[in-house]
Amino acid sequence: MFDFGIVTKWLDDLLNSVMPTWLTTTIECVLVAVGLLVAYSLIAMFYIFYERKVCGWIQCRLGPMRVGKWGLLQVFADVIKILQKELITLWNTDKFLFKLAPYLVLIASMLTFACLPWGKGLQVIDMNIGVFFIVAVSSIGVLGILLAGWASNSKYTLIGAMRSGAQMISYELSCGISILTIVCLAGTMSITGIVEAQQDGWFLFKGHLPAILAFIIYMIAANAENNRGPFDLPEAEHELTAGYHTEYSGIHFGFFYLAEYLNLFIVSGIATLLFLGGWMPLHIPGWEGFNHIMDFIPSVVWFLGKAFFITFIFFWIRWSFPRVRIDQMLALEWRYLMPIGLVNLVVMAIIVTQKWYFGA
Amino acid sequence: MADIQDKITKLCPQAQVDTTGEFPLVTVPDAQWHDLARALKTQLHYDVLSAVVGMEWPDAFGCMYYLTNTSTHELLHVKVTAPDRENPRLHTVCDLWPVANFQEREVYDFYGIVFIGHPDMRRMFLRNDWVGYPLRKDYDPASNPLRLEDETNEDYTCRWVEDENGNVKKVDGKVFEDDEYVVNVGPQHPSTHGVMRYRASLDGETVKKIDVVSGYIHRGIEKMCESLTYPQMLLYTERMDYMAAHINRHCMCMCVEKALGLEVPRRAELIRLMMDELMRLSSHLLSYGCLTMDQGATTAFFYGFRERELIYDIFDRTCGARMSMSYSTIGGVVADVHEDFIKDVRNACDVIEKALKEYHKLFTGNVIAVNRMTGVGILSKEDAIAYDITGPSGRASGWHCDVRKTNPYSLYNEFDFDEITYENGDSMDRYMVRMKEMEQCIKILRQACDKLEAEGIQGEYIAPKVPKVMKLPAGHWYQQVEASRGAFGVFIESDGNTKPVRVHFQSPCFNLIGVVDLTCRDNLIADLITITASLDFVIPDIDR
Amino acid sequence: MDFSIFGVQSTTMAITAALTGVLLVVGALVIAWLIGPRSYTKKKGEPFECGIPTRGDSMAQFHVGYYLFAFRSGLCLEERSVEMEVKIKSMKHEDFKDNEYIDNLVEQLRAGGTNIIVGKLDQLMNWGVSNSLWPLCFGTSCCAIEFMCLGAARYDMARYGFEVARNSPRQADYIMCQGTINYRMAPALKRLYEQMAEPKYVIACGSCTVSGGPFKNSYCVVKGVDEIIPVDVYLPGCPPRPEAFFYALMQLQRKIKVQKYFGGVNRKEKLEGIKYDSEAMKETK
Repeated sequence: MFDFGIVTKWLDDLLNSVMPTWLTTTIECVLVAVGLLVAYSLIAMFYIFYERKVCGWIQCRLGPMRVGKWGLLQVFADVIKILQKELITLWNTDKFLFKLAPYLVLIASMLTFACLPWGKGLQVIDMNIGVFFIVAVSSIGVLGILLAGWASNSKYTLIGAMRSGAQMISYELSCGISILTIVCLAGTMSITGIVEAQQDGWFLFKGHLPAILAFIIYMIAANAENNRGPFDLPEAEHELTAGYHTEYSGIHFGFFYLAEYLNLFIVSGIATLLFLGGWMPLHIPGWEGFNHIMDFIPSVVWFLGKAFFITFIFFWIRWSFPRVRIDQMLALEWRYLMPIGLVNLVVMAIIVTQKWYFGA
Repeated sequence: MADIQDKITKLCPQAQVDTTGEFPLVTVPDAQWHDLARALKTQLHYDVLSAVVGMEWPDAFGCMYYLTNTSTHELLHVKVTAPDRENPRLHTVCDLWPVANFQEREVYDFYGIVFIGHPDMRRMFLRNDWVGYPLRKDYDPASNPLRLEDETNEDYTCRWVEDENGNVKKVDGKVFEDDEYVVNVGPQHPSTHGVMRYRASLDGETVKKIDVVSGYIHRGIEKMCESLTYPQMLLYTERMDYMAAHINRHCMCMCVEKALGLEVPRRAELIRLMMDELMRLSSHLLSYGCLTMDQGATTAFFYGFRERELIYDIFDRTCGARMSMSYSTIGGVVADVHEDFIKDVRNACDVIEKALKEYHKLFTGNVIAVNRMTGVGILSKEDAIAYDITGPSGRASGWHCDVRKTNPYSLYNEFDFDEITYENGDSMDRYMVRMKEMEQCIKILRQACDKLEAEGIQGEYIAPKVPKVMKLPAGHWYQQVEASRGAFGVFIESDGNTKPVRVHFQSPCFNLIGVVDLTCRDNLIADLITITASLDFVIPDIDR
Repeated sequence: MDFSIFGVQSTTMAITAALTGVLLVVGALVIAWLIGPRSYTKKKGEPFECGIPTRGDSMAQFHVGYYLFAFRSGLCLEERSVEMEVKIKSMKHEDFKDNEYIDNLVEQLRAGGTNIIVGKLDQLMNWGVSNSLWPLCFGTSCCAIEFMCLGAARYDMARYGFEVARNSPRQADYIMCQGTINYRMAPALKRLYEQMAEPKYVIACGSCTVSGGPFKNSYCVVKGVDEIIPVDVYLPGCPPRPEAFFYALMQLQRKIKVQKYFGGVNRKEKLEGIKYDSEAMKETK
């Protein structure tokens, strides 16, 4: 499998040989920043298009078709349009908090985006508490949504913000528990560590029953974290017109729109990391020829492919199910997901200590 | 009818009973009206008040009340006149029939008749700063130009109370207290199915009280009809409940034909009936789509609309238009059906029958849908009767109120179909009644296709001698049909000219908004959306 | 210490990522501030509550400073006239029925010619705006059902990119007034229109909004929605067929494509009684 670490090491040595260390570090940071920005924007645009096409396919229609061949330029038109819309200033809003909210949402989004296992040697942030860092940082986004709803001085947004606060805080617990279950199996919190530990088999297959259960719990909890699918109460269009971002216009609203799709990708990326091996190719123990062929596909392609597949499942759920009510949603979390998750964690701990998993 | 006459005169000697028309007409002065009303309800079992029609006669203002007996399905008309023409006042009957609450507000709005004892005597459809009463004959349209300022003082209400000596006094009140957290839902809102506005007082997520504010699509149809001839006013029947366009038009045509004594050829009746059922099918498909979309299952909306396009194609080929078809006319239908009509209808029936199974798989069995709709917004049978909730919503509460079965019209006697009723009256039942009724529509349509094929593809589609100038004889006529959302009625009072004196449309959706507050109290906001979606009303039908 | 890509410390990378996020927001806001229009009315700034003023207050009041910004292009390269035909995909110019109107409009707007860079930027902006028009969910009556059919699977306005129907006027691009507007609804419609973000458009859909339609003789119906708000495209019909809706949307696209975005404001009409400057702010509390 091609190791991008070779390229980055070569560039690092090249720069170090001609300039002092601090300048090298700065240039590398700028390169990473540009790379992140480009990747962020491109993936967001792809996701908006992906959703509209998948949604159209499920609903027996075509989706965007006219702007560019097969509608490929549709999102570019959307971006241009949204950049040139007026930024409305409102009366009686808490101006500072109103402006602060998109920053918080995007910073949280970008930080978790940078933590994903893009490919072999392409790990942008690699702490030994990597997974813990992801969970911690993603909760900043909750604050952003709460601020957006509160600061808008509107009854709809306030109700949306209160709902989202309750929802996201509840489901972070379930998310965390299912992540812990896998950390238990992997033995490490570091992201590269978790990916490397899946070399001889993805955790979903290695950990059999508790891993599958953790996967299902994670999918439900992550869906709720994202305010998507059956859990889109905070922005329930049909109840609250537009929920917490009703009063944002133009690119201000665009940030929330963008961050929602990116968070979907990030959550899919984390699911890929924990359950489907990150950038690890599919290896079936004993089929050496097959494994060898799988190794030829670059690691970035593996990672993106798996993330897009998980996103497809999220889209499928969103466009099939109706929306839950707030009390049903909280009941689902506190009465069902949380206890099952805890029991699952204990079972996984037992399995790990007794080495009752595949490839032990 | 004679025994009714005896019973009523025994209950109230001052009442006069006229049995010459289609239904008995009781005339009673206002002073005795409330007591007679109570007796009619409790002793003679007239437990449904179908309509309160405000009237202006040359000598007095007053109301016509339409009462129905739910066990014998007999109708009774009561005419009550207010004693004073300058300050018309009547006693309210909303303590006996709660449906009169909104109906009397409408009469106050249009005629200025004050109802003594009514708890909330406000205007219903017009702006609260409106000057004058539009349906009075001396109303000047210039007195109310277009005002672009928002309405103020929306919490103000009043009631008129009477003391022992007969003195009437006005008492002010408030709709909401000052410290209540009141949220506006509508008029521009995706889930109100139009321009309905609710002012909901919230406590967190729980709804404490709802004040329904309607009139955002009130177009003054009843007043306009007074200056039009009978063929001209047919077009308005299609623009009220546009999802029952054909059925409403059919009702109006039947009322006029009854008055003129016209006999519609059998073939035209059969075609009208088939169009009615196709319309009902497309209306229920739309209500399925909108209900699921409001719950969040947007895909089901697209599937429902996919099948509706088949029905629209049939309308397009036969009537020339997809929606407001203008197909029935007085005496029959405007043109014959197209040659592939029977084949198209049979094909649509097959496709929709298969699609219904898909809808149940997609939505009805879904655990989230079941949890959101079961037990939510329960309307008991007694409340359904008290508020005159007919149609699928009433049948979901267990009330057998299908006009096609209780007072059959057109050719419904010849068809074999079931009246679908459920017991619980929650949102799930209201939804299921519509789904099952679609199957019954398909059953009727298949039988009708067979009949039409047997009786000949081409034939008479309009009565031979339809008068060019239509003058209804002096008197009043009433006709009720089963529209998609309930019993729709047309009331015409004529004085022998080409234009009527009064036209009133009894709209099923108007009664539905009367139970929104009742069913939504102490439920969550999400339930408000579910309940209003399952009640399924069309706003222009409410506002007229 | 953990070392990430390029051998840089993880904390440094984390800080970089956070700053990237900030940079993204700041950059986009600067672009929007530079090129976006501005207008101010009292109703625009009030909270959105479905077209009705909100009941009661929630926070203390304070002033918001705001000023108009006029962008002038300083570059003056060679001038040339832009082509007269406005292209719509898969529909020929001669198939449209009112080409004189659009051709006259193009002539008036391009009278002085335009410099290349601004012209090209105009075309790019107009291409973006015309292909991404998001309607406001606003239906009062029968025409709304045909609009729902337009969004449904057979006609599918998503092919044009229009299916993102927003409920909040802040995020919508045009109002398609479907159904009769009566005297009670008129203030709500006016408020919704004013609360929309510029640039915004109006399509009067159905005979009722064009002229009052079948309800012209009513005592409470507005005889045409252009009595309250400026209309860009009139679409007659009762109700218009979905194909007619598409035609109206393509006409709106044509109108947007000839807009001079950077070279000047296209809209000739201004709402009565609206002050587009700081005078308006002094009047409000």
